[in-house]
Amino acid sequence: MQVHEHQQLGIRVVEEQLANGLHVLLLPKPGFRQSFCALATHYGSIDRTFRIAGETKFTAVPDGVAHFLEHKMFDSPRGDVFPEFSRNGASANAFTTFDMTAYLFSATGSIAENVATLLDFVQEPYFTEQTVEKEKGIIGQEIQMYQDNPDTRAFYELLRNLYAEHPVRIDIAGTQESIAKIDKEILYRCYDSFYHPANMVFVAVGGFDEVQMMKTVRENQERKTFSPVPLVERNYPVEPVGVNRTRGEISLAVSQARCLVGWKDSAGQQGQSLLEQELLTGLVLDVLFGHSSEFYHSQIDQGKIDASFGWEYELTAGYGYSLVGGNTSHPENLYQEILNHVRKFQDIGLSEEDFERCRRKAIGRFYSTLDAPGYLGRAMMSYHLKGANVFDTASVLQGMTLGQANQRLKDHFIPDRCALSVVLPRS
Amino acid sequence: MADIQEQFQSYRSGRVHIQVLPSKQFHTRHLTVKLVTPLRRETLTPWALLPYLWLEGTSAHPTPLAVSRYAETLLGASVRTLSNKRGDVQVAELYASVPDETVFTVAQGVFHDLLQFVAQLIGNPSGGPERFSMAAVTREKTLHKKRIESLMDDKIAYALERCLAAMCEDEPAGLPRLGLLEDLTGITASQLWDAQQKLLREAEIYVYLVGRFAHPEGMVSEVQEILAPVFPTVSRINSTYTQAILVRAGQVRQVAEVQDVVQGKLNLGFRTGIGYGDKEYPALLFANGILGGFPHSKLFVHVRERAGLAYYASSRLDGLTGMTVVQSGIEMSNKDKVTDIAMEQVTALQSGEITDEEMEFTRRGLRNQYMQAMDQPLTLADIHFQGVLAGSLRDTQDILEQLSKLKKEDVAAAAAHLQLDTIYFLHGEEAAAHAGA
Repeated sequence: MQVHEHQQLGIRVVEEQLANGLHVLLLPKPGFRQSFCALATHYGSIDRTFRIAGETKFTAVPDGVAHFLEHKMFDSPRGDVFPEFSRNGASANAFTTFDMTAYLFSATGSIAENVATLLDFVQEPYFTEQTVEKEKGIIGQEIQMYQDNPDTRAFYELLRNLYAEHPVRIDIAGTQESIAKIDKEILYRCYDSFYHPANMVFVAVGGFDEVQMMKTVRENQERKTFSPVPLVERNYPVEPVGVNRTRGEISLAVSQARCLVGWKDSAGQQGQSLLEQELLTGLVLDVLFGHSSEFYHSQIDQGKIDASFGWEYELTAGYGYSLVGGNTSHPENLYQEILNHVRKFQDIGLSEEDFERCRRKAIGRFYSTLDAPGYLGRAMMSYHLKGANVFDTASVLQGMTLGQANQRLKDHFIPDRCALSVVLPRS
Repeated sequence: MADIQEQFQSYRSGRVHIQVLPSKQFHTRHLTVKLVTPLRRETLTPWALLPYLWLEGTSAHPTPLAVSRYAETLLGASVRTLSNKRGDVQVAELYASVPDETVFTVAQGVFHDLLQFVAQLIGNPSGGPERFSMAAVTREKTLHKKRIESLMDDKIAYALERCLAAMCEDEPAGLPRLGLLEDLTGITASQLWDAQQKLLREAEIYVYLVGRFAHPEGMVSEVQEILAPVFPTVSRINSTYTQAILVRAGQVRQVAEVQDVVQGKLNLGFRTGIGYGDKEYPALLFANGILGGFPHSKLFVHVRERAGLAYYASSRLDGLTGMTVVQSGIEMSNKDKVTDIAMEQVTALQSGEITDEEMEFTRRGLRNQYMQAMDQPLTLADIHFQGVLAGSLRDTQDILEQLSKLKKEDVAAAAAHLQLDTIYFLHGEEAAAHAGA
C-alpha cells in the first residue's frame, strides 16, 4: 500500500495494486458524509474490433456494445441490481465513454455493503436473451432522446467530420439498427475480453476510513477466482492526418443555431505527457476563446454568440481533438472569425499577461474541484486509465512557460486538421 | 444523530439576513446573495434581466471583459448570476466562490476582495451616476432574448416548463422565470435603472456564507459592513412567504404541442395543495419518492424495467408549490399506454399498495439525499432558503426524524392529494397525424 501525500493540496491518496491486478485508489476526505465509489474498466465504444490470443482474425462487434453491456450489467441472477443499492441507501449509476465504462455509487452509510454490491455485480455477468431484447426498447429511447439534443448532435457531427476511420466518429450508444444486432453471446465475449480486474480501477473519494476501505476491497477480491488475464489485442484503423470532411450541417427543431469548430491532433498521448499536453492546450484555448478573452466579448458585442460559447480539449492514447463554439446567430461568420483569430495569434503570440491570468484561474479552479467527490473520483479513474495522475495538475500548470504555449498554438491549430459542424434551426 | 451538527448561524440587520456555516470540511469558500421579491407581471421582466446586467461592469471594472478578468485574478473566482423563481416569488441571485485562504496560502485576502467586488457588482453598476450604459443594456437585452428563446432547445426542460405554465396559467407561479419577450422588447435603459433602484429598495436580502471561518462573527460583521450600504435603509420590511398552489376544480387539461422532434415528451402535472411549510409535506416527499424519485420507484420499475417503454420515467415534487410532475421520454405512439401505466401507479400508491421494501428503500434514499447535501454548500443554502420562503425552517435532523416515523397510511394519505391537473405532450408530426386520423 503506497501513500501519496499532496501537502500543497491538503490531501493524501492511498494506492494499491491487488494480487488479481485491480488497481485501487483511495482519497479520504475527512468531514465528508458521502463516499463516492466507482469501478471502471478501460473499455469503451471505440474498442469494437479486437482479437483474443489464439484467434487469427480480428472481429468487429456492433456499434454500441460497450454501452449496451453497461446497461445489462445491472441484471443479476437475483434480478435487478438497483434495489440492492436502494436497500443500503446508495444512489447508483453508470456511464460509458469512448474509452471507459464506469459503475458508481454515492452513499452516506453502509459503505462496506455498497462496495460489495458494486464489486459483485460488475464481476458477475448475467445476460439472457429475454432481458437483452427488452433492453433494446429502453436504449432505443435513450438514443432517440439524444437525437433531439442539439448539443449532442453538433458534437457527434463534428467528430464525424474530423475522423474518417477512427471509431471515435461513432455515437457511443450506437444506432437503433446497430443495437438490434446485439445478442447475449456478443455481450459475454466483450465482457470476458475487457472486464478482467487487471484492466480495471477502483476509486473511492469521501469520508471513509481508508484502512477499512482497502480491507473491504481486498478481502472481496481475494474471495473470488479469476481466469488468467486475457491477451486482448485491440485494432484501431489507421486514421489519415487530415480531416474526413471540412464541414457538415444538420437541422433540428431549435431556436438557436450551433457552430462547433474542431481541430484534431496528429497523435495521442499517455502518462504525464498527456496531462501536460492537455493542460497546455487548455490554457491556450482559454486565452484565445475563454470568457475573459477579447474574442468572446467582441462576438457578444456583435450579438453573434451567448454564454454557451466555450472550448473543450480531449486527449487519449489514440486520438485528441479540440473544439470551440456554441450557440450562434451567424455560424458561417463565427467560423471565419474563429479561424482568423487563431491565425492572428499564431503570428503575434499570446501575451504574458493573458497567459499568467489564465494559468492562475486554472490553478484556482483545480483547487475548487477538491470539494467535489464525484467529480474528483471520475477524474482520478479517467486519468489513471490514461497513465496520468490528476493531482499533478497544479504543479504541471505552475511549470508551464509562455514559450511552450506559443509553440503549442502553432502545432495544434493546423488548417487541414480543422472541421466545422453546424446545427441549423429547422423552419 | 451525532453526525448532523452543522447548522447555519443566523444574523440579521434590517432587510439583510446573513446565514453563516463555519466548516472545516471544504477547500472552497462560498458566497450566495439572493434578492427576494414577489413575482408580479409588472416587475417580472426587468427584474429578471438585472442579475445579468450586474456583470456588465462596475465603476472600477467598467466593461464585462474587465469584470471577468478581475474575477480571474481572484484565483479564478467563479462569479455567476441568475434570475430565479420559487413558487410565486422572484429571486435575483449572485453566487461566488474562491479557494479557501486557510488551505491555500496563495488565496490570502482573496475572499475579502471578492466581497467588495460583489458589493460593487450589485450596488454600483457602470455607466456613470444614476444610469446603465446604453451598450450594456443593448447587449444584455439581446442576450436575454436568446436566453428566453433557447429554452425550447432542451426538450426535457422545455416540456416541463410548458406543463407547469399550463398548470397555473392564471397564477403568478405560472409566469416564466426569465420574463416575457413582449415585455423585454421595449424596455429602456432608464426603466431598467429605476427597476434596479426599486429592487435594491424593496427586496429582502439573504446572504449565505460557507467556509473555514475561524471567527464567524467577525466574518458576518465584515459582510455587513461591505454589503449593507448597497441596500438603502427602509422602515418597512416585506416578509415574502410562498404557499402551495391550491387544488383546482374542473376537468383535466390536455395540452399537446407539435415540434419536429424524434421523441415524445410526456408530462403529467398534479396539484396537491401541500407545500413545504405544511405538516403533510414529509409524507408527500415520501410519496413522490415511492412514485418516481429513485430507480426502485414504481414509475422506473413499471414504465422502464417491466414495459421497456422509456429510458427515463420519474416524478419530481416542487416543494414550495406542491406541484408534482411525472416525466418520460417515449415513442409517440405509446402516449396512451404510458399514461395508463403511470396513472395505475399513482392509483396504487394512493390506495396504499406500498411494499415494505418500497417504504424502507425510499426512507434510506431520502436520508442519503439529505446527508449528501451536507457536503454541498449550495444545496445546503437552497434547503435553508426554501424553509425561509415557506416560513417554516426545517432542519435536517427534524425532517429525517419525521421521515423515519412515517407509515404506509401516512404516505398513502399524502398521495391521495395528488390530483391530475394537466397532461402535456410534446410530439412530432407523426403523432399529430395519428391522433387526427
